[in-house]
Amino acid sequence: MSKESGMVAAVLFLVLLASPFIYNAFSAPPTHRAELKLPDGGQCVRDTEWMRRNHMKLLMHTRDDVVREGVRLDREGLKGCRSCHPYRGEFCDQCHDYVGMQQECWNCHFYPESKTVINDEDREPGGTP
Amino acid sequence: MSVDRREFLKIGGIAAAGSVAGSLLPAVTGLAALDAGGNVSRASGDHQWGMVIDVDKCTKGCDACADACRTENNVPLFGDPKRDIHWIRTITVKQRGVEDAEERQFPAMCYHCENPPCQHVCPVAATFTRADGIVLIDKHRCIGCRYCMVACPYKARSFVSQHVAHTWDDNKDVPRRMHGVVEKCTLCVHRIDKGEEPACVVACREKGGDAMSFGDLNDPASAVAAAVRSGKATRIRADLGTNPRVFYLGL
Repeated sequence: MSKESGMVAAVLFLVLLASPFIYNAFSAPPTHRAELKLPDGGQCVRDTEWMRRNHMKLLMHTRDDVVREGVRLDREGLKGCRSCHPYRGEFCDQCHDYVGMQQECWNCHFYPESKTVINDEDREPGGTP
Repeated sequence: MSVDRREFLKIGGIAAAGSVAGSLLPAVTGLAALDAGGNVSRASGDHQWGMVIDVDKCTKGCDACADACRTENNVPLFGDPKRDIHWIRTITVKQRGVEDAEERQFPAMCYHCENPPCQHVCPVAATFTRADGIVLIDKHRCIGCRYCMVACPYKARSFVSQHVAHTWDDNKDVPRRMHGVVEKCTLCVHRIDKGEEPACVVACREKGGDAMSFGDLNDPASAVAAAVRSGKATRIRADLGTNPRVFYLGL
């Protein structure tokens, strides 16, 4: 292999290696922004910074407390979330959909997705939420 | 400075343990604050919930307890007797070998045994006994292997074999279920924690023959404890040694 073809191969390899960065540099900025609809005022059960990192641990902890020990601290669990953030479409789904993390809570637990699905006209008896 | 092999490993071990503890601590401290809040009621061994069912009072053809249970706990009917889920069901029995024996009806359910075979066989510890004696399934853990259904001598458990459609009419206090788990009577644990009686007992009093009574077996003043003390209360298949917490009178 000549010296020139070796150089071409090396450049091609570097371009391929950098292709994600090059693509990102010239593409439009990401359109999705997580927009959490927050309640006016009020204070969460923990401070926001803690909740951002640890809400899943808190929910798991509460879950085991409720199921195993019978400690029904509603404000620490999903019911507590729902009392301030009534629709998961405006809250949980905003980040979870973006990172593609499937939430399995709603397979069994009640948390309506948006206001529209609980309007009276949509609320057929026996209809699915 | 010279560090021998032993010293080096010691330092390494301490450093590793420290970094692990450091990464875990913040989350753990945040959670622990929950219980420090105080004034939290939890299931305690001071109560041992139980039930007494008077078979003589059970009205033939009445299904009020089962209907109330389905409404309260969102228990679906698939329309296929092989797959239907029953938390409580009325069964009819007849004395064997007796001419013209009278047919009698009574509700059968999970008996919340003191020595539950279902719990012993569960490979993932999904079935457990709460401090107050209620045998429950943690559906988050259940893998649907159905060993417990084989182990239960009372046919108290059902497998959710297909998807259950959620409806707006569901009771939102009780989580619905995914297919692929086993479920059974919870003695309406969500109502007990609120200080109410199970839905079947209330329905039997209001619509049926007032055959079921619920109470604390530890409380000598309760009707349940009195019935058990009278010596007339029997348990189904007492020979198995499961020690059910649900007793029958007049069976």
